[in-house]
Amino acid sequence: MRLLISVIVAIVATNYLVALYFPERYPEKLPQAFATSRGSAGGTRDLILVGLGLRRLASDIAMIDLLVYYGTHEHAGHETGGRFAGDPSLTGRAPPGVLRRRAAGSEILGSYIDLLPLARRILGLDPYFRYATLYAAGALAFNEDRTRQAVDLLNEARLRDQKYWPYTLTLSSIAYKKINDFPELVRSLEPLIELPECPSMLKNISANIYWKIGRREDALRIYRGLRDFAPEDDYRSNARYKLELLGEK
Amino acid sequence: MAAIGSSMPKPIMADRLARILAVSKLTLLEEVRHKVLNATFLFAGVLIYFGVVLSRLALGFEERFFRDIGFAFLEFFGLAILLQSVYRIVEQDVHRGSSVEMYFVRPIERWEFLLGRYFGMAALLWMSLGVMGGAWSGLVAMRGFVFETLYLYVFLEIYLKLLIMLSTAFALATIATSQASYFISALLIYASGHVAYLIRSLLEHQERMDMTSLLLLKPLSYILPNFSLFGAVNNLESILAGAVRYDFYDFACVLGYSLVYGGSLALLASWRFSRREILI
Repeated sequence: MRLLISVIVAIVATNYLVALYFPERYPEKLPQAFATSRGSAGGTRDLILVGLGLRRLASDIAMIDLLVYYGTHEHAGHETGGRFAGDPSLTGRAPPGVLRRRAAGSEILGSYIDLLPLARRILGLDPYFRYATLYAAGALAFNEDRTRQAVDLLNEARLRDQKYWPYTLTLSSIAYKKINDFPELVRSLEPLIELPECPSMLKNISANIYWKIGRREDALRIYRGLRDFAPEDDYRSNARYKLELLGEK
Repeated sequence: MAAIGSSMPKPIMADRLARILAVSKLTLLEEVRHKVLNATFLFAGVLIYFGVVLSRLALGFEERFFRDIGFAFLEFFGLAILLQSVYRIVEQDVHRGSSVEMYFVRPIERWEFLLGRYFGMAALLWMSLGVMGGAWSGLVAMRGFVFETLYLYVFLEIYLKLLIMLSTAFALATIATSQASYFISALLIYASGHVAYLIRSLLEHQERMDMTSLLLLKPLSYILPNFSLFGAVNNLESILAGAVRYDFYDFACVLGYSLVYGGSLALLASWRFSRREILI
C-alpha cells in the first residue's frame, strides 16, 4: 500500500511540475480548427489525429483537403480563377465533405468561399505551417481578389510566427496590388520566390506580372525555374507554354 | 550467534541485476524473431505506399508530409508491438505459467522477473524503432530529402513516450481481466495522455470557464501521462526555423519525466505481479 501511495505521489508531483513549467503550446488555436471542420468529413479525422498526438499530420491532410478543394472547378466555365490566372489546374467538381459555409462578415465572395475557413483550420492545427498560409493568402489575394481575407489570415499567422518576414512581404505586396502598383508588387514578392516554401502559384503570379509590365528577362527566369523545379505538373506545363510564347524553346 | 536462516546469503545487487538481465535477454530473444521482422516489413510497405503514392497529393510540401507520415507510423507500429507483446507475455506468465514455471525453479523474485521482462521489451522496442528508423532514413535519402539532427531527438522522444506506454501496458496487463479491457484501457490512456492537458488548457483559456468540466478534468490530468511534453515531433519546422525554442534542456526534461513516470508505473506493475496468483 505504501508503494502504491508513493507511486501516485511521484506521478502527481511530476505532472504538477510539468504543467507548471511546460504549459501546452498554442492550445487556444485548436477550437478554431475544430469549429471550422465541425460537421465535415475532416472533423472527426482531425479529432482522432490530435488525440493520437499527430497534430502536424492532421494539418498536412487538411492542407491536402485545401489543395483538392482549390484544384477543382466550382463552376463550369471557370477557367482562370482570377486576375493573374494563378492556378491552371482547375478541373472537376468540389469533393464531398469539404465545407460549404459562407464566411461571416467577408467581403465580396466569389468562388471558393471555403478557402479562408479551410486555411484557418490548418492554421489552428499547426500555426507554423508556413507553406499553407502563404498558399492560401496568395490564392485569396491574387487569384480571388479577396484581399481583406488574405490580410486577416496573414495577420493571424503573424500572431504566432512573428519573426517570419515573408508574411510581412506578402502583406506589402497585397497593399501594392490594391493600388495597382505592379512594379512594387513584384519587387516585394521577389525575395519570396527564392524561398523553398514559396508556393508555385506565387511564383507564377510574379512571372505573369513581370511579363505584363514588360520585364521579359525576369519573367523568363521564373518560368524556367517553374519548368524545371515546380512539383505540380500543371505549373510545369504552363511554364513550358509561356516560355514558348516568350520565344524560348 | 547467528539466527536461523541467516546462513543463507542475501542476494547482492550484482546477482539481482544478473538475473534481471537473464530474463530480459530471454524475453528479447523470444520476441525479436517474429516481431521485429514482421513490423519492419509492414512498416516499410506502408511507408513506401504512403511515401510514394500519397505524397504526390502533397504538392509543394512532400518532404514535410513524408516526414510526418514516417514519424506517425514509427510510433504507431511501436505502440502496436508493445501492446500485443506485453499482454501476451503477462498472460502467458500469469495464466498459463509456461515460462514462469521454468524460471521459478531458480531463486528469482517475482518483481525481478517482471523487471527483466520490462527491460527485454524495452530492448525489443529500441531494436524495432532502430530498424524501422533506419528503413525510414534510407527512404528519406532515396527521395533526396534532408536528414536533420533534430530527427534523432524526435526518435528518442518517440522511444521515451513508448517506454511510458510500456510501463502502462505492464501495469494494465497485471490488473486487466480480459484482453479487450486491456487494449481499450491502454488506448484510452494513450489518447487521453495527448489531449487531457490540451483540453484543460482550453478550458482554462475560455472566457466563461466551465468549472464543472475543469474540476472533473484537472485531477485526471495530474494522473495521466502528459504526452504534450513530447512536442518535438509536432514542432519540427518551427524548431528548425528557430520560431520555437528546443534545446538539450527540453530533451533532458522529457527524459527525466519518462524515467520518473515510467519507473513509477513499472514499480507498480512489479508490485501487482508479485501479488498475483500464478496458475500453472
